[in-house]
Order: sequence, then structure tokens, then C-alpha cells
Amino acid sequence: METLEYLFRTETGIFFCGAFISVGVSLSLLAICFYTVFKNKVLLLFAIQSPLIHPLFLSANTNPRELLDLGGHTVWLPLLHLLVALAIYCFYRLVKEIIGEAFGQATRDKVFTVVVSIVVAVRIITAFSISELTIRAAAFVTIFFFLMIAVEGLFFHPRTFAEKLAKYSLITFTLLSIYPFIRTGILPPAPSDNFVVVLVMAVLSIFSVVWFFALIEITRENFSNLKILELQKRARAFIDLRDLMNTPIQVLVLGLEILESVAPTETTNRMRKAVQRLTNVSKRLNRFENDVNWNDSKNFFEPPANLQ
Amino acid sequence: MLEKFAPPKNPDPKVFFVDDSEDLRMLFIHLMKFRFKENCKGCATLGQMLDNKDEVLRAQIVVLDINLGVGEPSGIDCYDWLKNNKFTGKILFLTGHAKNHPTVKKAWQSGAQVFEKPVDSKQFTELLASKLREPLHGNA
Repeated sequence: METLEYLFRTETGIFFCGAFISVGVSLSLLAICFYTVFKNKVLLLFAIQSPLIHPLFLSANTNPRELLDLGGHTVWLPLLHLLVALAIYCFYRLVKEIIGEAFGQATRDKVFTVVVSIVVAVRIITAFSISELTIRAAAFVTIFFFLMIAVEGLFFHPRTFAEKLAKYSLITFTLLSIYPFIRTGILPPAPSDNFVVVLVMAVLSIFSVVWFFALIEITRENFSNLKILELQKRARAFIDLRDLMNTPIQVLVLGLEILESVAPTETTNRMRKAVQRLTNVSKRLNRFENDVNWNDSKNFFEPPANLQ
Repeated sequence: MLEKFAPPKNPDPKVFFVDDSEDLRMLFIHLMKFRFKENCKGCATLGQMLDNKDEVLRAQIVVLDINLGVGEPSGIDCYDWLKNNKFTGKILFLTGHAKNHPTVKKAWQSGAQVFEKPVDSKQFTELLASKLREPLHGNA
């Protein structure tokens, strides 16, 4: 109770709370703005996760019977637990998206999915039957969620600076496991609840900001890679088109040569000009050759079906 | 005994065109006949080339298209076959595909001359004719 007194009854407490929640909400709004440009679902997941975990951590009192001072409210209390489940799910999806291909180990991937399913399931059960037992159980399984995040963070081999940021922000995030540890009674209650709350707010704020920048940078890199791929695809289409034209043009050139050597006429002259123009078009497409990455195609001789 | 001195009824083709476009082959053959009175022949694939292997190996020039159709062995395979069978004439590649494609690169690296479609037919047939007049000594 004294924590909540501090947070909501004193001026500094209210200031910290407000600042802390605004960090979550404003990062979420920023993520939505960036989403309109980059169109990457990672940003949407972040936009859901960020404004949720900030107030949720604030509400997670170390006393297992108290989840914010709601006096055991019949609507808000279950709702908060459901939101925790949603936040955990979004966070899981986000980590999977970011670490995605670096995941590598299929077993670890599966274990992570199983752990998250259990955590979410227990949370949902808790939401519908709130008791000390279910709250402690929910906190207990959440420890394993943090553990998985720590494993993912530690085994993630970053290739870029942004990925390095993501890695360390995930490791920082696991410091927040102090909450479920205290809630389950594995760790003794901190001498001062205020200390825990301030620590959590600080860690979570730092985490959110770094995590946000890492996500923006990673999506930006993906975005520019996608653009390059798009350009390569276009270049490839032009080259395919040119390659399809070359043999027919050659046939025209040869046929015209024969016609002209028999009897050059006004008509063959005009045809010669047309063939020359076609040849020039084909040559002009040559400049796309260097933009095509042939490594990704086994057989470039197979023209796309729609061109054939 | 006398047969020995009689001119052969079907002289060997001097130039052999391997290209999957029949129109292109026929027009090249026609043009060579028409302009230089040279007897040439052609076929579409490596398989057909092997059916005429005696004629091919006796030819002075083999012109290979690199892409001989989807799923077919390429002109590079024809080149390798010719080399492995001690073909002594000249080999030219004629391609309509990008220079930096791995298969086309192989052709450039083989040391044989590579021509990109569409070639100037007058210049190209003149080149073939002049190569036919050159003495035979391996590949150009």
C-alpha cells in the first residue's frame, strides 16, 4: 500500500508515473507513424506492446493479492490480467520477428512458443478466477517467459548495430523479472517497495527507448533491402524482355538482309529502319544487366510465364 | 578405284549452326549459301548435334547458341563435347542473354569468341566466310 501511496499521492510519484506512462504511449504513437512509412508489422506489434507494458508494470504490486489498488474490482482486475497476456503475446511475436532467421535452433523456437502458450493460458485462467494461488501461478510461469527472453537475447548473434541494440535491450528487459520473483515469494520482498518501483520504471524506460530505436533501425534496413530487391526485380523483368526479343530481332535482321540482296526496295528500306529501332531498344535495355542478381535464380532462361 | 576421284555428292557442311530457333538457323544457312555459296547445316539441340556428330566434327566452324531451350543442355555443354571429341575447327558463341549470367560468363571464359544477338548479319556472315578461308589451325 505504501508504494501506491507514494506513486499516486505525492507530487514526485505522480510525475514519475505520468512520465513513465507517456514514454510508453509516445513511443507507441511514434511507432505507428513509422509504420505508415515502412509498413512493417513489427512496428504495429511494438505500438500495442509499448503502451501496455508500462502501466501494467506499474500496476504489478509485489503483494500478490494486490494488482494496483483496485479493491478487487471485478472488471478492472481481470482486464489487467488479460492485457498482461496480450502484452506477453505481442512481445513474443515481436522477438520472433526480430530474431526470426537468427533463431536457427528449431527446438529453442518450439520451447519459446510452448512457454509463451503456457504463460498466456495461465494468465487467462487467472483473469477469470482471481485468487492468491492463480496470481502466484501466473507470476511463476512468467519467470520462464523472462528466462526465454534472456536465452534469446544471449544466443542472438547480431550482424548490425541495430541488432546489437536489440540484443542488449532484451537482456536489460530480463532485469524486470524481479517482479515475478518477488510475487512468487522466491525473492524476499524488497526493503522498500518504492525502490523496486523506481528501479522497474527506470529499467523499463531505458529498455523501451533502446528497443524502439533498434526496431526502427532494423525495419529501416529491411525496408531499404526490400527496395533494392524491388529494383532488382524490375531490372530482371527488363532483361527477360530483352532476351525474349533478341532472337526474333535477329531473324528479322537476317530475313531483311536476304530480301535486300534480292531486290532492295523502298519497303525494305523502311523495314530496315524499324529493325534498327528495335535493335536500339534492345541495346538500351543492356544497362539493366548489372542490376540483376543471377544468384537467386537457377535458370534465367525460363522467361516468366506471362511473357512467354 | 574411280570413285575415289569423283566429287562427293553431299559435301560436308562448312558451318554448323546450333540454335533452338529454326527460323534463325534456316536464314543463316540460306544467307551463307546465297552470299558465299557455302554449304551449311544446323540443328536445335545437343542431342541432334550428336546425331550428326561426324558432320559436326568435320565442319570448320560451329556456331553455338548458349540457351538451347528450357531443360536442354546448353551451348556450353555442346562446347565441352566438341572439345572432348577433339574438334579442330573454330567455335563461336551467339547469345541473346546477359553477359554477367553465370552460364554466359562460362562462354566468355572459354576463350571462344562470343557474339551478342542481334548481330549485324552482313558483318557476321562475312566474318564466317573469312574464317572459312583461313587455314585450319585450332580455335580462334
